[in-house]
Order: sequence, then C-alpha cells, then structure tokens
Amino acid sequence: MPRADFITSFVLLAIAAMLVGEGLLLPGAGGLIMKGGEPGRVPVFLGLCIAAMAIVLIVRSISQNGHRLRGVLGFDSERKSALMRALAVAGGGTFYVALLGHNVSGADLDYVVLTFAFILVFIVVADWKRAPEIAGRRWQTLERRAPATAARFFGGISFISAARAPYVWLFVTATIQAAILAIIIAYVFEKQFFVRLP
Amino acid sequence: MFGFLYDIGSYLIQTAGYVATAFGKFSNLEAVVYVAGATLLGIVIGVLPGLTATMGLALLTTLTYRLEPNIALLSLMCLYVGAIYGGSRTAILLNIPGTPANAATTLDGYPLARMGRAGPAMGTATTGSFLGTMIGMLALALIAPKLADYALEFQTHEFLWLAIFGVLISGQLTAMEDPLKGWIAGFLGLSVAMIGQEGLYMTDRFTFGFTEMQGGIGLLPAMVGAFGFSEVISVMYNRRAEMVRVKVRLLDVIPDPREILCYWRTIGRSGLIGTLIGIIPGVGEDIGAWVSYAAARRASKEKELYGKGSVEGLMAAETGNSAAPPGAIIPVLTLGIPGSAPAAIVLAAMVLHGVKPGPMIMIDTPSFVYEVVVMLFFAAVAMLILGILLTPLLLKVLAIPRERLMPVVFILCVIGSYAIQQRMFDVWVMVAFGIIGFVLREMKYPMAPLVLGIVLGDIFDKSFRRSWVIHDGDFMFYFTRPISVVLMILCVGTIVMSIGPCRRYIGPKIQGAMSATVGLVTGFVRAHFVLIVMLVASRRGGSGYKGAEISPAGAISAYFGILAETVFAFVRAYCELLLGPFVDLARLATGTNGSKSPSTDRPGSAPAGRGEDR
Repeated sequence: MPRADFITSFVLLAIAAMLVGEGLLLPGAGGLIMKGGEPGRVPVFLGLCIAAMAIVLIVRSISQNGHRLRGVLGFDSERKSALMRALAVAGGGTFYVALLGHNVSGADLDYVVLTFAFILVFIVVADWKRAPEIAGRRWQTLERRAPATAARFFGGISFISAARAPYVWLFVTATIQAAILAIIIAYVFEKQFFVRLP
Repeated sequence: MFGFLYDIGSYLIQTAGYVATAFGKFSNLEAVVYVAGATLLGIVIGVLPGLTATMGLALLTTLTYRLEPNIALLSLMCLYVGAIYGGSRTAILLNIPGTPANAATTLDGYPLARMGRAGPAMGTATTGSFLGTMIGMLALALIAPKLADYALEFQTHEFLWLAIFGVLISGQLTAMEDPLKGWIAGFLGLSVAMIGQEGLYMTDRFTFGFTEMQGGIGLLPAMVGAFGFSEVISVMYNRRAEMVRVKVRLLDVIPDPREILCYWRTIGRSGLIGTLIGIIPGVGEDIGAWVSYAAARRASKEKELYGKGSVEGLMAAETGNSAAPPGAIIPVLTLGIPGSAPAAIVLAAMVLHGVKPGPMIMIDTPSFVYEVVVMLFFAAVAMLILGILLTPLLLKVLAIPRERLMPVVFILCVIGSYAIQQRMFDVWVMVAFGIIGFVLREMKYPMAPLVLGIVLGDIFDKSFRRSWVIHDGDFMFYFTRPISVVLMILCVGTIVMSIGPCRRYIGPKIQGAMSATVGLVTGFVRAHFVLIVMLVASRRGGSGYKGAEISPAGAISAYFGILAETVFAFVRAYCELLLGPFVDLARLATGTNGSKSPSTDRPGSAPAGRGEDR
C-alpha cells in the first residue's frame, strides 16, 4: 500500500495543480463579481488542501519505503487473474456503453440486441472455467429429483459429446437468461417509464 | 412550570395530529403493495452480496421518478430499511456482510450459524433490526422538529463550517485506520462538485468546453457508478465465499420475546448509539453497528462470548445498524445534509420529487417530517413480517450465482443513469465513477466522504464566498457566533485527534474533561437529591450527609458543598485540558519537571493504560 500511496499522491498533486491553475484563471473581482465572491476562490482553496494532504501522503509513504517502486507490478497468479477479471468487466462495460446509440454500416445498433449480447458474453466468459462443475451439479440435482426426466433429457442430448455438454448447457442457459432480461428491461423502461432507449 | 407542561402537551397533540394524518395518507391498498414490494426488494438487495443499499436506492430512484412523490419516497424508505436488514442474512450464513452495514453482524452471526443456530440468529437479527428502526423512528419524530427550529439560527458561515465538519468527521469515521484517505476522498468529492456553472455568477468551471458539463456532475449517475458499477467490478475481482448449508424452519426465525427482556439495555443503548451515529453527516450504518457492538461488549457480563457466537453481540450490531437509517434521515430533513451514503440518495430523491429538505421544512411542510416517520414505521413492520415469512425464499436468493447477477446489475446501472435525463453523458459519468470508485476502494479510500463531498460541494462553495462577501473578507466574524466557534473547534479537534501523538497526549485530558462534565451533571442531581432528603430528614432527626447537622441550614451547606466539589472538579479538568499544553511547554522550556509519575515526564506520553493508539 505505501507504494500505491506514493503513486497516488502524485496524481493528487496533479489534480490539486489543475484546481489551483484553473481557479486562478477564472474571472476575478470586478464588474458584477464582488470581492471575496470570485468563482475561483473555492477551487483554489480545495486545490491547496488536496496538495497539502498529498504532501503528507508522500512523506508518509516515503517513510514506509513506498518510493522504492521495484517489483510494483509483480503480482502473483491469483492476483493477476483477479485483476484480469476486473479489467475485463470494466473494459467490457465501457465497450458496451460506447456501442450504445451508435450505428454500424448505416444500421442503428438495437438496444435489446446489444444488451442481450452483453449479458450473454458476460455470463459465458465469467462461468467458462466453472462450466463442468456447475453443469455436473445441476445434472446431479435433476437426476436425484426427477430421474425419469433426467433420463429422457439425457437421451435427447446424446448427440452432444460428454466433454462439450457443460459448455452447451452454459451457452443455452445464458442465452435464455440474456434474452429474457434484455426484453424485460427494454419493455419496462420503454413502455412503462417512457424512456427513449439509447 | 405549567407553561412548560402546556408547551409539551400542545406539541405532543400537534405531533399526534400530524402522525394520524400521515397514517391516513398511507393506509390504502396501493401504499401497502408498494411497501411490501419495496421492502422485499430491499431485503433481496441486502441479501445478495455485492448489492448495497446505496446501489439499490440509486437504481430505485431512477425507477420511481415517475411515481407520485409520496409513493416514490415511501418505496425508497422501505428499500433502505429492508436492505440494511437483509444484509444480516448473508452475514450470518456466508460470513460476508450483505451490505457494509452488516460487517459487525458477521462477528457473532456466523459463529452462531456454524453452531447450528442459524435460525435463532436470524430471529435475533430480525428482532434487533425491528427495534432499532423503531427507536430511530421515535428519535426522528422527537429530534427532527427541534433540530429544524435550531437550524433556522444557522447563518452562511455556519453552514460553511458544518460542511467542512461533515467532510472531516465522515472521513475520520469511515476510514478509521487512515483518516487522511477519508479526508482526501471528501475533498475530491467537494472538487467534483465544482464542475459546471457555479451558483452565484453563473461562471463555467472545469467544463473544458463541453456543454453537457455546464449542468455539473449529477449526483445520481455518480452514485450509481461509485456504488453500482464499482461494486460489479469489485465482486468479480474478489473471490467468492462459501455458504453455511443450513435447513431453517420458520419457527426458528420467529423472534423470541425473552431476548428482548433479557437484552433490553443492549437494545436501548445500541438503538440510541445507532441513531446518534446516523445523525453525524456522512458516517452511516456500518459505523453505527461497530460502535454499538463495541459499547455492548464493554458493558456486557458475557464479554468472553463476543466474537464466538454471542446473541447479545448480534443483537447490538443489528439494532445499531438499523437505528442509523432513521438517524441519517434527521440531518437530511432538517439541514439538507445526508447522514449516510444511502441518505444522500434519499436527499436527491426528495429534491427530484419537489420536496425541499432543510431548515425551512418545519415552516414550509411540517407534515412531511411525520410522513417520513410513518413511512419508517411501515417499513419496519413490513421488514419484520417479510423477514420471517420469506426465510426459505431468501435462502434460495442467496444461492444465485454472482456471475449471473452482475451483468443485470450493470445493465440496470446503465439504463438507470440514462433514464433520468435521457442523455449518454450521464452514462459516461456513471462509468467513470465506477472505475474511479473501484480503484479508490481497492486503495482503501472510503466512498461515503466522496459522496458527501459531492452533496455538500454546492453549500460549501456558496457559503464560503457569500460569507466573505458579506463580511468583506474579515475572517474575525467566524469567531463572533457560538455555533460557528463550536463547529470550528469540532473541525480542528477532528484533525488534531487523528494525529497519533496528539491523540495520545490530549485524549486522556479530553476523557477527563468529559467525565468531569458528566460529573457536573450528576453532581447537580446528587446535590438536589441530598438537599431534599436532608430537608425531609430534618423534621425527623438523625445524621445527614457526611455527618452534617440535620437542619435546613445543614442541608443547604451540604448542598453547596457538593456543588462546589463538582464545579471545582469540572473547572480543574477543563483547565488541565486548555492550559495543560502551555504548562507542559513551559516546563519543557525551563527544564523543570513537576509531574509525579515517570510516565508523564514527556508531553508525548500518556499515563499507562490510557489513551493507547487503537
């Protein structure tokens, strides 16, 4: 954390510099603006406060050896995969928002279709590694509770190889969930709340 | 005396009238349906880890903005109360708090579940939550009108100090381990509020030429991002927890009245602490639960059970966090300042629905305060009934995988932030705050001060500049009014007390001064009691207080003796607090040492066992 604090404190100093710089550029007293009521007064004050706190943070992080940045990106594999998941969610979400309301080759991207695709991709990607485990659990539950239905179902899907079955199951359930949710959300907001969808 | 009683009587009659009218307003099928639906939704949101009360409120505000104001606000209150309660289920069964407010619940809830007592633990949590909400609701009915009257006395510069104090205390209490990060978050929030046209001369600030930014950063999109999208990223980032597999019968969850009788002191204390913590700007339910838990543990006869499955500890945590929402609504209604992050959403929703919270509320719409009281009552009752009846369903909700839930939450965040003004700019604000919120949260910056900063930014900006214009730059006016001076002392005290050596040095002195203040009050009561007893006894004969002669004169002398004793202790404690640092400095300068104990030789050291840096 001291190393993260050390880096953050410089970001804070940059924010403070922007607040002070922009605040000083704003119109000063004169004309309609009375002395003491200048629009830049508060941003400058806030900038100075943030700068002071950033300096305290720098001093503190240096005292805890936070300025030694060697190995700052050396994450273990678990942390790396968690970070990748977070980046994927943030990036995927941002990409979805960027696509909303845009048109591709002259055709508007439909909200329902985009939402459906986002939910589907999210679930499939997030559950891909756990698909065999989840499908196995669901299958055991079905076999235990309704053996006859399970047998019929098993016969029906026998053309799918056992290795692929969990992924097919994941894809089918995610498709159903994504379709239902996309339609319901679009319907509720467009028809009930009169929102013009993006 | 009779005048005083008459005032109280007429106040109570007036209050009863408002409450009865409010009951009438909400006693219809439509309201009942919304109460049940919103409370259930709140409980479900609380139950699902990763969905917080703030996120739920932010999303529901966007869903209810076309409803009638009363119904919309009723729904939001029910969701608020339901979500804080719902999180206890997850805390008990999963050992992860459903909402941050239930963090203290895990300490005893999860051990109880592992002992096979998950059902009774849920019952205890239900009892505590219900009673906590009721205590907070009563406090709201009693305190809010008086506080609103008092708030009318506030002038521009007092609002300025109140805003600074709000940000400082919120930063201090929500980032206990590192208040500096809490304050940075608060000041960043204040800075975000500077974006857009300022309120006095309509000058653009930090808009960078974007017309969309002239209106400023919307509170709701920012909060949906900071608490919704960032939570989605956070949930996917962190590992999942394992649920304790339990079979709970409905009968197990029904609250046991014996618990109420057994722990009435804990319930009362935690309820009051939760409410008071709720009133402090930007602090909220989680701190209410922690402080209540700590106070209950200190006062408990079964301290050793705490953390290992103490029913009393669970009761204290749940009563404390549930008493905080009504407490957090008090400053919303009377000062226009939120007591917690979810209360900030409630404040935004009130403004969205045309209600003007603030000091004028008891003049403009006095009935509204009591309508909120009735809303909380309905929410508490619905929470009690649904919490018990729907236990099996709620256990099923807990089993919903996060991977299936989070994309839906994100889609709702997007459409929710878009729906208010139907512009993509708000969606981008939500995305930006989501990513920034996630990064800040991972680096242990609390979100509550950031939100409070955004809410208070406008008040802070206007008050700061207005007060300078009105008083022509003479900053001595800050010292001319008692409210301003008290708030200023609180601000300085908050900063000073967060510095380790200062806290170790001044902490014991403040403790001494506070106990002397309590001693002064109890001394006055004791003196009057002794006076009355001795006057009565003087008619019968016998010995009086400390062997004083039994006569009216003896009674009076004992009375003044006690008064002198307590006033002297009070003055000495405060002199030590105020003059102590100067005396110590003088000793240091002259090289003399007047202290008796070696532990107090240095100004930085405290007597053993007191004022440790926790």
